[in-house]
Amino acid sequence: MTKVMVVDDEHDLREMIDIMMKKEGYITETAENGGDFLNKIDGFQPDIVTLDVMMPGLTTKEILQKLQEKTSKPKIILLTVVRFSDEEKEKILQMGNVVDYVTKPFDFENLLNAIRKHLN
Amino acid sequence: MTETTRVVQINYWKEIRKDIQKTIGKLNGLVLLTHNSVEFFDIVDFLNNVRRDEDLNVLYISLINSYSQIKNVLKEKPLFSKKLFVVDCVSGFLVELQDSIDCVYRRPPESLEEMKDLIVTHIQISDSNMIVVDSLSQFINFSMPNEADLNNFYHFLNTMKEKAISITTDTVILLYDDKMGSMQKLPSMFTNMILKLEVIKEKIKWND
Repeated sequence: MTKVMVVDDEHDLREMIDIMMKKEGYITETAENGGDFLNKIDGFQPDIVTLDVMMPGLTTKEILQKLQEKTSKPKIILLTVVRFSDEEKEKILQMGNVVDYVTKPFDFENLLNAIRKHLN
Repeated sequence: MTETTRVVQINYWKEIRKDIQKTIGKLNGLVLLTHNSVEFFDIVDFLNNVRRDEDLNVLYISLINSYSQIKNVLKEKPLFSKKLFVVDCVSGFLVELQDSIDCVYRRPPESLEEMKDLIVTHIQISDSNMIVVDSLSQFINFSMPNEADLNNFYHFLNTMKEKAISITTDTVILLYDDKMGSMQKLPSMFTNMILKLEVIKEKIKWND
């Protein structure tokens, strides 16, 4: 069974994504910040993670660095409100386990498509 | 829509736009964007309409657009007489970057209190006449604000008036975009003007 982890400090959004993922038949776990995510990852061992870019505490860069010290397994899809330039977008896709990013506000179907694409 | 209705609507908007142009044409102060959906192109439109042809220093606190993205937009749509100083609170999440003469990289504020400190610190560095905060959406949901969030927001505005805006003027403008849902409660206290984004865009949807 595919495991998806949802990491977002916005409670309502986190819960909504979690419900959507469960409806799709994925096993899910949630985390409310980078520290929480890194604490839970060994126990849960997700295949794919949706990771909010702007959360209190650890920065995305720090989270990705610490993740790589632990495991290289999960694919990361970044969720972000930030509008980056094309050059920055290219750089983002070269970072650690990042395979994609989805700009907020997003259509859930787009997020699901991104997840399906990278699980295949 | 009938042709008559359309003409009435266009005339209405033209009148509104005239009034808005008169008002924002003379602005100084603090502009707070309520939602994170406003394109930087539209912010440039707004700034170009404010005190046209006057040299102004604008402090732009960005929680939405990276400085690299801002520079790309400005190549296509220049800010004519305004000089922008950017506090980029988003790029540092991903890469190490060096501050420059017109941009500094900072961690994003985690509360309105931290936002106030960020503004006060950089208003002096940038010698700004005007401050744009893009946006407040992570601190308060303006579509459905609860009482505590509103009180916190009012406290922020009140402190800003005391600590920062006296450097420029005491004008506070709330700029909202209803693509993200309507404003259920207009936070009018300590706010001099609440503008809908649509009315300050440079491009209009009709031809004369």
